[in-house]
Amino acid sequence: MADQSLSRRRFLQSSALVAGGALMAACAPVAGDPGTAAADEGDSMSEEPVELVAQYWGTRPEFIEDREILAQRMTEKFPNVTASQNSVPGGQYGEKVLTAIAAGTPPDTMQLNHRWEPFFRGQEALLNVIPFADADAEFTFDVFYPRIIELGTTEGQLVTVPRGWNPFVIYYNRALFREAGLDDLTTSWENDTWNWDSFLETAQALTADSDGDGRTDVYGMFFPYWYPFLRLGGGDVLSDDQQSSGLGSPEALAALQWLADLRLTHGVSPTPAEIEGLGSAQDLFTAGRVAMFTAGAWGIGALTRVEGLDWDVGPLPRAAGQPPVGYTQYYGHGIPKGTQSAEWSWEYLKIISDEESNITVAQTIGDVPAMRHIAESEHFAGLPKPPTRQVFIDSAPHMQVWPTIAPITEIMSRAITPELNLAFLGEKSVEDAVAAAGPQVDEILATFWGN
Amino acid sequence: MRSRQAQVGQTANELAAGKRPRMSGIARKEAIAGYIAISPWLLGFLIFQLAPILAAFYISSTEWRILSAPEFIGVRNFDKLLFKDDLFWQSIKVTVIYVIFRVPVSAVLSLALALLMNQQLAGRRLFRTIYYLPAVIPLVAVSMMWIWIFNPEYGVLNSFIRLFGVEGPQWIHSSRWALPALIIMSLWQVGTGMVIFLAGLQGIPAHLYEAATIDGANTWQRFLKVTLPMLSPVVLFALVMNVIGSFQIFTQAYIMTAGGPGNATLFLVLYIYRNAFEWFHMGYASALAWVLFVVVLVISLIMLRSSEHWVHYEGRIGGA
Repeated sequence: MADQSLSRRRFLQSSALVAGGALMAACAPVAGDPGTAAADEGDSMSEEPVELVAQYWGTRPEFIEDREILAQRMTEKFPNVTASQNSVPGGQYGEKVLTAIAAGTPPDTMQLNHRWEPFFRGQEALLNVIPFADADAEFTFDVFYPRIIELGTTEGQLVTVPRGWNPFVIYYNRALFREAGLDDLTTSWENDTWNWDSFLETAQALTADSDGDGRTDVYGMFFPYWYPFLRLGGGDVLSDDQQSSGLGSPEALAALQWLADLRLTHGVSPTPAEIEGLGSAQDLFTAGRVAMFTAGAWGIGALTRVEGLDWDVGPLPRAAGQPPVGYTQYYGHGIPKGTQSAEWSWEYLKIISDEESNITVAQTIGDVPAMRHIAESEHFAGLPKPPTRQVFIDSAPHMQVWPTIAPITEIMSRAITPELNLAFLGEKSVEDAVAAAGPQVDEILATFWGN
Repeated sequence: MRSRQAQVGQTANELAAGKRPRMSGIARKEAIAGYIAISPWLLGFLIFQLAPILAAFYISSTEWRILSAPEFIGVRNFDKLLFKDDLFWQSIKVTVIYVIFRVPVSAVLSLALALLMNQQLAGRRLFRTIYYLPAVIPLVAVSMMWIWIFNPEYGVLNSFIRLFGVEGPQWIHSSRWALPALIIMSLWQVGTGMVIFLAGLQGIPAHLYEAATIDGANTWQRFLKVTLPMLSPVVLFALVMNVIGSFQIFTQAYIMTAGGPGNATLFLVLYIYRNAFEWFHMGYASALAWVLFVVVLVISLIMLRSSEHWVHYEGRIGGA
């Protein structure tokens, strides 16, 4: 009988083999060649059974339902296709998609926005959708807001078919405005009497210590996002040539100082501690603790559901000597390279971005649809609440987005936000914060551009 | 077949010659059974820990953004983190301060609690449970709770401080107080250390105390001359585990402060995470992870080496 016992040496040899195998697997080149051209992707379409997966972030019930409907519509149109969604929490999106692509099993379509589009485009992980559109008689980009297509196009390539956009506006509590003896806000983005001075005066008139205990009970405004004001003031985080930090420009410094003063000098905006204790901007607004706040169109859905809340929207106020800025975040869907069949992905993408889907964006999700005629129809502009929905749509000619350079998220979260947070807390001057952030921004850019 | 005596004689000769003795049949079978018994852990360790650790070492010498193949760049990641990255040194500074304050204070508190819980007190089982409870509550839930405790406006801590007519600090909303806040929060979980020390205390033979009492030792002397030496192996274990755990602090900072304000709580593991999963610099993150590994390894080795001078192992021949 052969000796079945395992010698220590043999055992260690076997173990080393297992570990080595695992190591090699871990170090193996990633699957999915990102160099493949759009037209070469996948097999031609056939009647063979196909399973498609659309990748999304966000797991709210209305999102899931919307995506289920899109998948069903795909199967109805193409009975041989089984379509499904893969929805993950927003914080896990990058990790999940990268892992799937690296493992050679990318989704067939994936959601993209101002954060993820630059990153994945920078990684050359997305297909240019223009050739698909050109070859498809059913599809045209003309139905979308041209500015979205223009802003999304880089070096002749477009990787996202847009679905919705979120122009930032001022949400305001009309009841509090009336209590303070204020008129409704203008609805015109061009109106230069609605400027940073009148905005501050309005915020000051709304800020109140109702019970006289020395603590502010109602704040005039709250700015969860500083970037739109930077742009309104004529500044930006990057220089025009995107080679260095732009925060040191006089316009940027003045805009950031004005924002810091809102909280630190004028006391019209709550501190982070107060916000944490009271809830989100929307919670504060709903509770009547904040009279104005800035957000995208996503505020509509939640606020519409609050009974008895009398609210409306107005444009972002203009800075002196600056044109109107309709800062927006748009989102849509793209096709990852290495997908099983780019042609089927394109078909799925068309359904995700079509007219019926845009109506869902308007009515169920509450964002502004990317299709202009849907946005301006009764499906969005014609809805009763808020009464001045046109403000969202009228921002289109002034549409601006944040930089589309690939490392923008790292620039923001690594270099700029920690420093600006100290300035907004009053622990550092704006000049010092910008001076500290600048070299970090420059370093990230130098690495990116290979300088 | 060789006689048993011959085998023993051969083994003795091999030992004398410094050779490893050949295993007997029974010993070999026992060894195999042992390896089989530990194989689930061993395989798990090799595949899911050792292999990724070695892979990370290779990755640390590359620039790897996941979607393209890793590009070998030699020691450039280490050069960058050591000489060009202020945030790395900030994360080291924050982490070391945390370890320096947290480890000794929590060790003293754990020991004090364990001594208290080792007394014949009414309801001590209840108290043991109460003190240990925080250690079994998920850290995410604990963090959410402490966010409220630390809230400068509405939190219970500043409300308490206000009773004395003093306005409390901004805690996690201040770059000066955020790190002390997380250190204070960590002490809430001294129950783990307490349980370990309690087990150690209960293993000390009563006759040693009796003998010390007969020799005229007072309570303090008994603690110093009997309890501490007898407990020293447990102290060593608790310290090493605490140091390793403290270097790995992540969840609290991730949830409560996101490393801020202004990188005031940017612990090393949080910085590794952000490099890997927010900015997707896997090569650089791996280099950072290896630095953490080496730092923890060196400190653990120093502690273990130093233990020869202060750890007392009862019954060890020729030992301290």
